[in-house]
Amino acid sequence: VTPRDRSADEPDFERDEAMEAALSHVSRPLARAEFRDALRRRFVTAARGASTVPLVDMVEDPPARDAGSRPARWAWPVAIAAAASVVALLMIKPNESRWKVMDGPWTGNVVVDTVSIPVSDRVRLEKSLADAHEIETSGRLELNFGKWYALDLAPGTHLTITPMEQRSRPEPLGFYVANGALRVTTGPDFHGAEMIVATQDLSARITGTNVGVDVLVDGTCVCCLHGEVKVVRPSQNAATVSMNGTLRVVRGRSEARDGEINHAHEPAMKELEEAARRLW
Amino acid sequence: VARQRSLEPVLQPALDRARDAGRSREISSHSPFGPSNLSTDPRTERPSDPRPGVAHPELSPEFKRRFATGDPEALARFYELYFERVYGYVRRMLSEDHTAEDVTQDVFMHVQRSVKSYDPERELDPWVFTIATNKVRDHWRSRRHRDNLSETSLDDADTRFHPIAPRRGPLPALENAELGRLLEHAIAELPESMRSALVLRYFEGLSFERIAQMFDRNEAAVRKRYSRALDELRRNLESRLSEPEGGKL
Repeated sequence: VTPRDRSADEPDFERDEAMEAALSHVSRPLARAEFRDALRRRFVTAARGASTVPLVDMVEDPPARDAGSRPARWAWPVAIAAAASVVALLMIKPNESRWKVMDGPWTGNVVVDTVSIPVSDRVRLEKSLADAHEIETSGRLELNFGKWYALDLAPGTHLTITPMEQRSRPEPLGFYVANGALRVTTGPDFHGAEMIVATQDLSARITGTNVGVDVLVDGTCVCCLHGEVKVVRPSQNAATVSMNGTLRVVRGRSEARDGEINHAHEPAMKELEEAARRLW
Repeated sequence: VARQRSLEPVLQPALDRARDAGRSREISSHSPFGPSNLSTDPRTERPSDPRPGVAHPELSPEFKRRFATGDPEALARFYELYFERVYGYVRRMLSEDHTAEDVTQDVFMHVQRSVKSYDPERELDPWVFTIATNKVRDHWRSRRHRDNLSETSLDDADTRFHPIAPRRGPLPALENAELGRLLEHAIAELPESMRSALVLRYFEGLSFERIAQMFDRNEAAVRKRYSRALDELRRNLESRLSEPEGGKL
């Protein structure tokens, strides 16, 4: 029996031990710190968002409608329209992103799923947003998703989008804002849909309006420029914020303050609305 | 026998140092990484000594229970405990930094999505490394599909050996770092099935039984695969050291 044959059929423990001792000098491959930190943020932030604010559940299980509010004769036309919408969506080319960077003086970079992309490289940015799960902006940025909605992201906004496989429909309609601010203006194609914008403090249920959600150091501020938005918090009654109103939730406290729209947050919402109006 | 003896001057000092340090029990082929070496104290969940080949402590039942519920704190802790291990495993299997990052990201996103399918009664290591192994395989499949390469899979590569340089010469004395560097290259050249067995067993401390379950093989086959991986390393090392350049890479 040669040494080669013996090692194949019968482990030589003494030789193995010598090699194992030598292996102790092999160092562990180390990842880039930037990658490690970015993935940690994505892993932990998304988990926190999923845990405290059930984005998917809320999108997939809207509150039961009053059976009498929709006559039965509408059921078939609505179903056919919905099916047509799905077919239309499926006809969109897979590589064609419906995300567009709106015109504006945007600068800086956007980190899309750990990849940093300059805002000036619009084509690449729009393409990467098609499958994005996490977005982090260094400067202010306005985006629109077809005619569904337009978003204004304040500088330093860290946004997590519900992963495709967890969505009940192809449009990204669930957002978790870890930092910064997200303002939303819904467009003509949004009709009948529902968007959830969540923070660690609350989730805002948007059904067609102009809303701003600002994550503050000590809580979250929800502003409503037009329409109304429903705000849900863990273990608290839901609250409704109406046109030109605001709701301020302080972290760790059960009570929330309502009042007039926050004038510091209002200008960005108005600018977004005007830009979207020009677009649509 | 001549080949077996030729590496003695290189390997013996490392073995002596390991024995002197009392680590021979940890790295012995007979009972390495056994439960007796593991701490169940949650304060020592993170290995105090990140050297490869050192056992990773057992996680507390409470931690695993919280992890299985998707508790954000437990997930954050999980990330701290597993990031380096998962990245290290994936990087060793793929040998490319950027690809290793992509696949590592896939692993953690998969963990996040499927955490509630984890049974807290079971060990976490095999669950995590099975996901990592599947992601590595997915990558190979996609790369094979893209490049039309005929690579060997994790399961059937035992017969793929690399040619050994026929040249022989005096073996140089090696510093520890140089020996480690040579071995890194040798590990990267191992067939995938041997490399996965070696990395999971030696560097990540999984038992032969668990590795066998992961690869749907019997324990004896995995033991043999591991031993053959060590033998391949030895022969590769010998080959490199026999080169005229003295094994410089």
